[in-house]
Amino acid sequence: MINRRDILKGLTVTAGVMMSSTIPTHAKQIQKQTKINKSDKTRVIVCGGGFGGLTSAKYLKYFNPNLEVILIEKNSHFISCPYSNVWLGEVDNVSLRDLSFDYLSASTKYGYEFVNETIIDINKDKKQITTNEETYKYDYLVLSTGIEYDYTKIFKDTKKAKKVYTLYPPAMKAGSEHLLLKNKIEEFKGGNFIINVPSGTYRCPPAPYERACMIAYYLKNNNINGKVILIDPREKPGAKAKGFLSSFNELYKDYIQYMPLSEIKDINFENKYLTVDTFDTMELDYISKKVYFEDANIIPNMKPSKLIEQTGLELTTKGWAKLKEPTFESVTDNKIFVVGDSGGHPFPKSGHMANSCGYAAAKALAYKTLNKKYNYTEELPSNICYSMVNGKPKEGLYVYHTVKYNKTKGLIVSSKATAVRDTDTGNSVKSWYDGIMSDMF
Amino acid sequence: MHKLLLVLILISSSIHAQYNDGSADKGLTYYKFIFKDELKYNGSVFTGKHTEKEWAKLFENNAKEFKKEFAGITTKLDRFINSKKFEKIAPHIKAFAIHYASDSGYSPHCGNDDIDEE
Repeated sequence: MINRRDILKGLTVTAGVMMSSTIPTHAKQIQKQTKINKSDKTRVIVCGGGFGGLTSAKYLKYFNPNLEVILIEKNSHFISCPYSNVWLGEVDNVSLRDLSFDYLSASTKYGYEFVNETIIDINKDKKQITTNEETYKYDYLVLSTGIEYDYTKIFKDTKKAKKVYTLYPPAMKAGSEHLLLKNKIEEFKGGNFIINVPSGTYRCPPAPYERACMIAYYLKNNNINGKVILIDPREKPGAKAKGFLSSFNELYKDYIQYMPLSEIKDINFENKYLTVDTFDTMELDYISKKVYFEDANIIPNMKPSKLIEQTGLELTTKGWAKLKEPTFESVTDNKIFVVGDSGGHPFPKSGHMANSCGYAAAKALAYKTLNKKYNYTEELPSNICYSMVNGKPKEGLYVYHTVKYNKTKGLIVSSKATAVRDTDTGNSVKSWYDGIMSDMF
Repeated sequence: MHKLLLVLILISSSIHAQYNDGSADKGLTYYKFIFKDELKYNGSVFTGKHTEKEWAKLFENNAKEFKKEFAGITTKLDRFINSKKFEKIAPHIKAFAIHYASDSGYSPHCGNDDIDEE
C-alpha cells in the first residue's frame, strides 16, 4: 500500500530528476550554438512564461539542444501565485522577494531566448506570431497562455465588472492584483472580509480556501476584530474538503464564516453589500440575502486566454483547447502543443500540474523533432498541491492527483487528499515551492 | 397573425435564453436535494447517462423529452417534474447535466469539479 511519505518521496524524486545538475554547463554550449546559425534550426516558440511555459522552454532545449527556443512573455518578471497566500498571511517570514524571479537569468541558464513582448496575433496557417514589436516565424508552437477572468456569470454589466475588478481584484494572476490584496489585508481594521469561490473549472482549486485560512490567521494573530466570509457555490470545499472544514472549525471558529451552496449575484458599491443566493435546505430552494462587507476579494469564473480561440484551435464545449488524448497536441494542428491552464485535459489547473505537463509536452515535442518515438503513457503527468492553513505552528494540507490513460475511457484522474492538517505537511509547503522554483529558474 | 408569430418567437427565444442561463452548481444542489432520493443514484451517474448534445435535446421544448425519460419512477418525482418549480429550476438542472455529461471530459474526481469528492 502506498502511503503519504511514498507519494511525497516519489514526487520529490520527479522534481529531482528534472533538476539535473548537468544543465547549466549544457546550457552554455547551447547558447554558443544558437548564436551560430538560427535559420538552420527548428524553431519552437513558447507563448507564456508561467509554470507550463517556463518548464517547456527549459526541457525543449534539454531534450534537443539543437532547437531554437524562444519564450515570449508580456511581463518583464515573474511573480508566483503558489505560495503567495502564505505571504498574504504573514507566515514563515515570506516576502515579495521570495515570490519574484527574473526571466533573463532562467533563459541564460537554460539556453533559450526570452522575448519580453505582448502577443497580438497567431496565424497558424502562416506559422507566424505577431507581437507588439515584431513578427516571428515558427516551426512548432507551445501555447501556455493561462486563464482570463470571466465576470459575465456574476455581473452582466461590464462597467460593474470592471469596477469590481479594480476595487476587489481576484488575485488569481500574480502581480498588481496581489499587491492590492496585500494592502487591503494590512489596512483592514475589522468587520467582514469576503472571499468567494468561483463556479466551474478555475485555477488552483484549493487557493480560495487556503487564502481564507491565511487571512483569518492574520486577523487572529493581530487581534483584529473581523472575520472572513467565504462564499462557496459547492456544498463543501472543492478540494481537501475535510481538512479545510476541520481547520475552519478548530482554528478559526470566530474568524471564518463558511457559506456553502451560495453564489454572489450582485454588488452594491455605495452601501457595501453583496446579494448572495444561498440554498435553504428546509425550503429546498435558493433565497437571496444581503451580506455586508468592509472589504472583499471577489474571484470570478475563469476561461482560457483569448489567444487560444483567436488561433482558431478547436475548443472543448467548456471553451478550453481540445487536445488529442493523451498528448498535448491540438486536435486542429499537430504543430501546436497546449500546456498549463488553457488545455482541455481533465487535469486540475495548478502550478505543479502545468510544470508536469510542460515537461511531458517538451519531451514529446523534442523527440518529434529528433524523429524519436515518445510514449506519453509512460510519463503521464501528476500533481501535488499543498495548502498552508496555520502559522503557529505551521500546519498544512495536501492533495495529490495521478493520471491513467485508457484507450476507451481516455484520461482518468484520481485524487487523494489529507483529512487532517499536520506540521510535516506545513513544513513541506516551502520545500515543494523551493523545489519547483529551482526547476524553472 | 404577424403579432402572434412575434409572440411565439419571443416566448421560444426566452425559453432558450432561460435554459442557457443556468448554473451547474445550482443544478447540482437541486439534484442532490430533490432528485437524488427519488432516482436512487448520485449526480455523476445521472449526468453520465447522456452526452452534452443529448442532454441539450432532452431539455428542448420545455424539457419535453426529459419529462418523458424520468416519468413513472416515483409519484413524487412525477409531480415535481410537472410542477412550476421544475420549470423554474430546469435551466440549472440542464446546466448541471451538460457540464458533467458523459462526453464532457470531466471526471468526478478531477480535483476542482468533484461531484462526490474524496
